[in-house]
Amino acid sequence: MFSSKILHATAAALSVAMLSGPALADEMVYGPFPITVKGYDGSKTNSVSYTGQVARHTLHDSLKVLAGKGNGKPNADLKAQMMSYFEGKDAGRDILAPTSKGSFKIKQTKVDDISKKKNLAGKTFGGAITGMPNAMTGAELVSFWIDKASAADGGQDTANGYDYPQLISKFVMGAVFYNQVVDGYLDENLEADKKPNDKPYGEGAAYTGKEHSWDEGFGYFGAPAHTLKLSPADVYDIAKRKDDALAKADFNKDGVVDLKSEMVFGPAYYAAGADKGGKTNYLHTITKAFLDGRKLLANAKGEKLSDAQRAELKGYAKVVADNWQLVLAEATFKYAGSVYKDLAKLQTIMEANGDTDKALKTYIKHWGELKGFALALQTGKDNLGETATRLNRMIGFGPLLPNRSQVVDVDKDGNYLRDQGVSWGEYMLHMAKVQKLLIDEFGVKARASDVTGDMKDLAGKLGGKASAEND
Amino acid sequence: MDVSIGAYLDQLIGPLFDPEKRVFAGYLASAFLIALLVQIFFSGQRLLPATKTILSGKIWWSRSARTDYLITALNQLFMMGVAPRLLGKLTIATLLFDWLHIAFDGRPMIWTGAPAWTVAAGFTVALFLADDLTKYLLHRLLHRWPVLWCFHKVHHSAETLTPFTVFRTHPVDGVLFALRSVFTQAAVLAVFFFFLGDRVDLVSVFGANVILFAFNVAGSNLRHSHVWISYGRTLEHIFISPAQHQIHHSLAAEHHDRNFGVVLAVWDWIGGSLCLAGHRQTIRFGITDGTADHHSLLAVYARPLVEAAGCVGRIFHWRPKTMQFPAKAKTASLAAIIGGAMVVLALGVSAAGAQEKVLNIYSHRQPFLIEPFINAYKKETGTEVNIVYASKGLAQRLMAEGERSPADVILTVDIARLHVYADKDLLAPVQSEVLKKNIPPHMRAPNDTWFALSKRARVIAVAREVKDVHAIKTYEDLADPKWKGRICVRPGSHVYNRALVASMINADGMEATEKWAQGLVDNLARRPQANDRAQVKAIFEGVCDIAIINNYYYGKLLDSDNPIQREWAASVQLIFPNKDGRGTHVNISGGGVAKHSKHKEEAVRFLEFLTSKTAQDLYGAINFEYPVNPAVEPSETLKSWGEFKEDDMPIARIAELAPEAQRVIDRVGW
Repeated sequence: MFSSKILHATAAALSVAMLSGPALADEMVYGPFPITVKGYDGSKTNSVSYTGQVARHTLHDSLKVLAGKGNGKPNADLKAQMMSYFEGKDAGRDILAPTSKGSFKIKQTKVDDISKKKNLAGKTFGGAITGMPNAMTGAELVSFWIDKASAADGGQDTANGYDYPQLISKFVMGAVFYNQVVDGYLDENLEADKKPNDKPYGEGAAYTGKEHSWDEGFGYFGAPAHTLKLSPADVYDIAKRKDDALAKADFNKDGVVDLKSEMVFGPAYYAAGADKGGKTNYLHTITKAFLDGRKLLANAKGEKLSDAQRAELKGYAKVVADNWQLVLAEATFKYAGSVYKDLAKLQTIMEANGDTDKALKTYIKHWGELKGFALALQTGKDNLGETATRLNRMIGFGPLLPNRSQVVDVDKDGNYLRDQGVSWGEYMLHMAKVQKLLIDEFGVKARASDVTGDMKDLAGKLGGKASAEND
Repeated sequence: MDVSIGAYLDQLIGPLFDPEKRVFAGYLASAFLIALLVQIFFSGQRLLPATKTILSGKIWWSRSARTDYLITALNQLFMMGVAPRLLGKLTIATLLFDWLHIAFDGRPMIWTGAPAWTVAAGFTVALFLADDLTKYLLHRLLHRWPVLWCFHKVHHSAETLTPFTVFRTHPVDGVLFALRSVFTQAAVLAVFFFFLGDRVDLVSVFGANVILFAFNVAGSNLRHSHVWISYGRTLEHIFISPAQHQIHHSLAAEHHDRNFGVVLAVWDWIGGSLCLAGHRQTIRFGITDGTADHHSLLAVYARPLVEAAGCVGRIFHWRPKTMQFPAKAKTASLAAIIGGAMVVLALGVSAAGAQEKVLNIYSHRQPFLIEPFINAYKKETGTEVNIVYASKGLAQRLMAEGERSPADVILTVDIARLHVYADKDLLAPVQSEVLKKNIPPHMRAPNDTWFALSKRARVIAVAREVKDVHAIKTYEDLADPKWKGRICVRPGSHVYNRALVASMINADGMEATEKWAQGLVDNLARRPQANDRAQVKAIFEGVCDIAIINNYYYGKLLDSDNPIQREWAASVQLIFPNKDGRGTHVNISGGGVAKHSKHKEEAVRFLEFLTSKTAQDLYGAINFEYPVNPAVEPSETLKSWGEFKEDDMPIARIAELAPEAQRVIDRVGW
C-alpha cells in the first residue's frame, strides 16, 4: 500500500513536470515529442496525436464482436448497428472491444472518449477486390459481409462456408489500416508538396503536417507507444488482456490501460504473433522505423524538410511497408496451414462417418482468417499481379465444403452460387501451394503451421552431400 | 559454383569427419581395429607385423591405389559443380507428396495412435531397406547393361583395394549413384511424411542413420581391403561380408556378377546372384578387357565414354555421316525462303486489308469442341474469329472489362452458367427471326438474351450385365431402398445435378424432391465424387450398378482412343428416364451476344449459324449432343442409344429454381 502511494505520487510529480516543461521523450517510446510548429500559441506540450486511428481500431474490434451476434435469421437492427460502426459517425457508440477484463482495466468505454465522428468506411480501400465475385470495392465488400453477418448464426454461414467476423476483421486490417499507411500516410504524404513540415497540419494544430501524418501511420499499426520496452510475448498478452498484462500495458502506471497509447491492436498483434516464434522481428522493426522517423521530424524543428531528410524518412517508411506486408503474408501463411490441417481432420472424421460440426466450424473460421488476410495483402500500394491471381484462384471465393461444393459467384440479389469444387486432395494441395507462393514471393520467415516444414527439416537431416561414390 | 579452395578442401576432406560417409575417420579406425584383431587371432601375426600387413605400402601406395586418390581428388571437384545441378531430394519429395494428395484425394493419416518412437523406427528401417535395395538394383544394372558397365568397370579396374576405392568411380557412375540416393530418400520421405505426418523422424547416431552407423562401425570399409572376413554360411545369406564383396571384385570368371548387395545379402539371395565366401581364398582383383592400362586418366575418364558411345551406336546401328550441302543449293534455298516469306507477308497484308468482319468469342466450351464450328463459320462467311477460352472466371472478366470488353459472343455449357451472364446484365437482347424459328421458346430466354444451341440429356447408366437395374424407368425410381449401395453420382452441387434437382422440384414439388434426394443419397455406393465419366468407370469396376450421367460422356467413352475407356462404356447401357411421363431432363449448351459487343450483327449471325443444320449436325457429330433446332434430326449414333422424350419445362425455370435446388442438396448432404 505504502509503495503504491509512493508510486502514484511519483507518477503525479512526473506528470506535473511533463505538463509544465517541454516534453521530454524517452528514447524508446513513441512520444511525447515537443511541439515544433512555429508560432504555436496553444497549451499543448506534446505534438503526438493519433486518436482518430485508435478510435478506428475500436470501431474495427467492436464491429468484429457485432458480426458474431446474429442468430441465423435476418436482423435489420443488428445490421444497422454494425453499419453504425462501419459507416456511421454517430455519437455515443460504446466500445464493444477491447473492454476491461478482470484486473485488465481499460480507461475508455466510448468511442467518443478517444475521438469523435470517426468511421471505417471512409478510409477503406477503394479499389476493386478481385479475390471476391463482382469486383466490389473494399467498402462495398465489407457492407455486403455485414448484411450477411446480420443473418448468420453466430457469425457463421456453414452452408456456404463463411465466418463473417473473421472475414471482416482480417480484411479491414488490410483495407483500412495497412492501406491507409502504405498507400497514403507513408507514401504520397511524404512528398515535398504534401503535408509540409513548416506548417501546422491544420489551423492552430500543435503538430506539423508531416508530424501528424507520420503519427497517424503509427496509430494504424496499433502498437503501444512503449512497444520497444516490451517483448512480442508481452504484446501478445496485452492484446489478450491477460491479468498480468496490465502492468506491462500500463506504462504511465495510472492503474488503467489507455487505449490512446497503451493498447495493442490488430496489425501489431499479428506482428507479435509472428515474432513469438523467434525467427522474425517485425514488431520491433516496424515500431523502431516509426520511432526513428518521428525523431527525425522532431529534430527538423518545424522547418521544411530537405530532400535528404525526406529520403531518410522514405527509407523508414519502406521498412514499415515491407515488414507490414510480411506480417500480412505470415498470417496468410499460418492460416493456409491451419486450413490444410482442418481439411485433413475433416477427412478423417468424414471417413469414420463422425460428427463434423465442430471441425467444420473451426475450418470455416480458419478459412475466413486465411481469406481475410489474403485479401488484406492485396490492398497495399502495389498491385500484386500474378501473385494475387494465383492466391485468389487457389483459395477460391469460398472454402471447399464437405459436399465438395464451393462458392463460385454471387448473383445480383447477393445470393451465393455454388458449383462442384476441386477434389479434397487438390484443395489441400492448394493450401500447401499458397504457402510455397508466399515463401517464393514474399520470403516469409516465421512460417507458422508450415505444411511441408517438417518434411524439409527431415530432408535436411538425411544429409547426403553428394560425392562420387561407388560400392 | 563455389570453387574456392576452402570449399574444395571441405568437399575432399569433409567425408573423413562426416559420420554419414563410409570413410568417416571413426569408421576407418574401427575397420583398422577389426582388421588387426583378425590378423592377430586368425592369421597368428603379432601386433607389429599385423599392422604392417594391413597398412602395407604395396597396397596403399600401389599404382591402383594412387589412381584411387587422384580420381577422388578430381571427382570431388567435378561433383562440386554437378551436385547443385542435380535434382534435389526435397524437390522430388515435394512432387511426390503433392501427387499423393491427388491419388488419395486428401491425406489419410495412418497409425495415428502409434507412439512417435515406433514411427521413427519404422521410417529408419524403411529408409535403410529402400536404400539398400535400390543400391542392389542399380549395381546389378551397372553390371548387366553393357553401356553402364563401360562406366562401372572403372571401379572394378582397381587391382588393390583400400577403403578409398569406394571413390574410384567414373563421374557418370557417381552421378547415377547420387541420383539413386536422391530418388530413394525422396520417395521414402514423401510416403512416410504423407501418411504419418510430423511424427516421422530419423533414428540417428551422430546424424547418421543408426543402421548404417552400425554397419559402418562393424567394419564396412573392409569390403574394399585385402582382409578376408567371412560371416559363415548362414549369416552370409543375410549380410554381405567383406569377403563376399571382395569376391565381387574378383577376376575369376565364376565370381563375375555376384554379390551386388551392400549391407544385405538377401537381395542377391532372391535375385540368384549370391555367392558365399566359403573357405579363405586368394583373390586377384581387377578386370580383363583386353587393355593393359587401367590407371591412366585417359583410361579412367575418356575410354568409358568412347566405349559407351560405341555401345549406343551398335544398339541404333548408327553410322556418322558427313552431311553434304552444295553451295548452290544453299543459295537457292535461301532465296526461296526469303521469296516465300515475302509472298506470305504480302498475302497477309492484303488479307488483313480485305478482312473487315471480326468476331471475338468468350467460350466456356473447350477449344477442340468449338473449333470445328469456327472453321465451318469462317469457311461460310470469311469472318476472322478470335476465341478466349476458360472454364471459370469469364463472367468476372467480362464484368471487369465493362464497356471496353472485346467480347462479342458468349458460349457456355449449361444453363446455370448462362444465367450468370444474364443475371449480371452482361448480355444484349437479340431480335432474330432465324433464332426464333430455329430455337423453341422453352429453350431461350424470355427476354431474348440467351439461346440454347444444343441439348444434353441427363440419363441413367446401368451395368449392362446386371439385369435387375434395367427395370429402372424414372429418376424417382432411384430413391427406392432396393438400390441401396448401388448408385454412383458426382456431387450434388455440380450444375448438372443441381439442374436435375431443379427439374424435379418443377415436376414433383419441394417436399417430394427432398424426400427423393434423401433416398438417392441413402442409396449411394460411395461418397459423391469426381466427374460423370468416373461414375461409368465405377460401374465397370463393380463399385456400383447405377449412375447418373450426361449422355455425351457415354459417347465420348465409346469413341475414346483409350481402349480401357471403351471397355468402361461397353460395360453400361443408357436408360432415358421418365420417357413415359414428363420426359428426360435436358440441359443445354448455349450462348448470347455480349452487351458491349462492337460487332453485334456479326455476333447474331454467328448464333444463327450455330442453329443452322450444318452446325446442329456438328453438335451431334463432335460431342454427341442433340440438336436444339426441331427441323434437324439427331445423329444416327444418338438415335441408336434410344429414342427419348424430352422434359420440355422452360429451361429458364431451372435457373430460377437453382437456389432452392441447392438448399435441398445441402440438406440431404449430396
